[in-house]
Amino acid sequence: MTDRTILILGHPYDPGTRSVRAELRPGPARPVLVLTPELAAATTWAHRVGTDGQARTALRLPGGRRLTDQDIGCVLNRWDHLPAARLTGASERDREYGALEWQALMASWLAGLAERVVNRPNALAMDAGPRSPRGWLALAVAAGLPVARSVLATTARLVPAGIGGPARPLGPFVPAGASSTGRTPVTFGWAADPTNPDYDDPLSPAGAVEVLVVGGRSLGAPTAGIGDACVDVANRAGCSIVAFRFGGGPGEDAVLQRVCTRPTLAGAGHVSAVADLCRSIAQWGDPR
Amino acid sequence: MILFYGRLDDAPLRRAVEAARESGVEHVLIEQRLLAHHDLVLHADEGGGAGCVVVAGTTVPLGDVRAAYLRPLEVAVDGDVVDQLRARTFHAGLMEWADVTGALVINRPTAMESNSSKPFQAQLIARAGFAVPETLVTSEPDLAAEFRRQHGRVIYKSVSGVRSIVRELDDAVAARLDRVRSVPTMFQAYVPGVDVRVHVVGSRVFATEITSASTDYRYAARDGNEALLAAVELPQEVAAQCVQLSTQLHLPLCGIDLRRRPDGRWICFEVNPMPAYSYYEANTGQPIAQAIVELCAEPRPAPPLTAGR
Repeated sequence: MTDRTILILGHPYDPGTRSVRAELRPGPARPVLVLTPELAAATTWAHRVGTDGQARTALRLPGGRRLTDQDIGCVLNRWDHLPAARLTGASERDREYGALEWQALMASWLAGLAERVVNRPNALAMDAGPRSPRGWLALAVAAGLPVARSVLATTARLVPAGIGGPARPLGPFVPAGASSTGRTPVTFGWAADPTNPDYDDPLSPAGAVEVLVVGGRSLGAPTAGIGDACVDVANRAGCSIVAFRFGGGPGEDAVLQRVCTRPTLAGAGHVSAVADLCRSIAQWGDPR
Repeated sequence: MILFYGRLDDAPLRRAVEAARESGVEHVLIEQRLLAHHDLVLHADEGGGAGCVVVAGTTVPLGDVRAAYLRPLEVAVDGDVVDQLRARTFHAGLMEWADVTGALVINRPTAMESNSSKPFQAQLIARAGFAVPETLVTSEPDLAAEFRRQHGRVIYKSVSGVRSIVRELDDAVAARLDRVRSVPTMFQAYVPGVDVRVHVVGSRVFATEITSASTDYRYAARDGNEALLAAVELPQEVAAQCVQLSTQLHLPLCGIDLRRRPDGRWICFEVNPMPAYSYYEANTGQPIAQAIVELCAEPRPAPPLTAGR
């Protein structure tokens, strides 16, 4: 009997995509397909929503292979960019429009697949979970995780004394001397950004601890309490896979510093846990 | 304290601010065109977090804000690079706060996102019990043509929330259907009937019937047509469904686009999370701005932080 297809929305340059695919050991009885944004753009899409709101989607891949909702057992979302509109000579504005249209289609397609999607995106972006660092912080605080004290301010002079860590000016370009005028926006402490490419270096700086939540269980938690709280945050965020990085101090003094919904999966047991989750969803549905 | 955020040259925001002023409700206005001259501080720590805004030299603790009405438009700031950075940081920070504060927010940025994908939102609308139009999103011209043959009359529009003008797929457009290969396009079966725009404010419902010969009455003037607006009462069960829909979408204020078919059935096209209600208010006299202020001014306890999604 052939299993339903496990679809990885991923990239050839993403080690996580490659290692999960390899771990799934694809074969004739266990189809695994890496759908890159480029392949998605070259695919023929037919996404229907009936008057009762039920979505049905059929894909015809280049080469003729067809995939319907019934063929898909699980979708692992690791996309960091969207398909591009196939427009020659398009303006920047048209390309942006094309990306929004693709995002809107992807969101609706994956919403129709519901709990078969690991880290389901919402309508506006492919990232799962809260849109902002503050959203993650609020969830972490609610779950009882220790978090870095942090401040975001449009001017450094309004930040009270005693905030730990150096002020980081915001923005790609800050004119020389602007900081000293007190007009420059700054942030202290928290650096959570689920899309931050810096996160690709999972265990630096030295001493940082990474907890990975996969399908309702935690890996690498320093204590059971921290592990449970991380699972709680992931559940509240509606995410099956989330990495939490703790640092800023030794042992129990460590605070949550970063969150990532597309972790590199470089830690021990990470890849097999994700592959197990995908297989389980393909067979039984989301275990959360 | 009500916090208003947006531009005073945006009629819906202006009307709400006027209503608050006329009612004597305590409020602060953050004019989006002057962001570089305002300041924002957001704290977060294990005790929760809050912060303040500094507007025209006056500091307003965000913990004092019990309700916020946000009409965020594109941030466009004159001035130097620091002014622009300050404005963008203020805007982004306030949107982050709006997503996590326990205050009533009309509407939270994340709640507004469902409108960024029409077929995605259609799936949510149907869960509230409304029928939605038969929809096809495709990059295959033949499928679009077949959909037209199947339904007779078909309209097309963007899948996302941008460039969202509704047009009928006529023979001239059908001859150019090859273009859908470049980017997937959304087609819907034409629904005959009468347009009804429903504004839900909390649990209050304001319905407006629109009579127009245009496919998209919002652009009737451009088509050389007119749009006639009249306040109407919805059947009780439809009104209740509208409130249920706004509740399910976490939108205390929304504009719901309905069409009443000749057979009496109701179809829901979409839910606008940032409705330009003032246009309907001006044409019907419905007190929508006042209702927004009354909803915001309802007594509620000091807000804790809430989840961010």
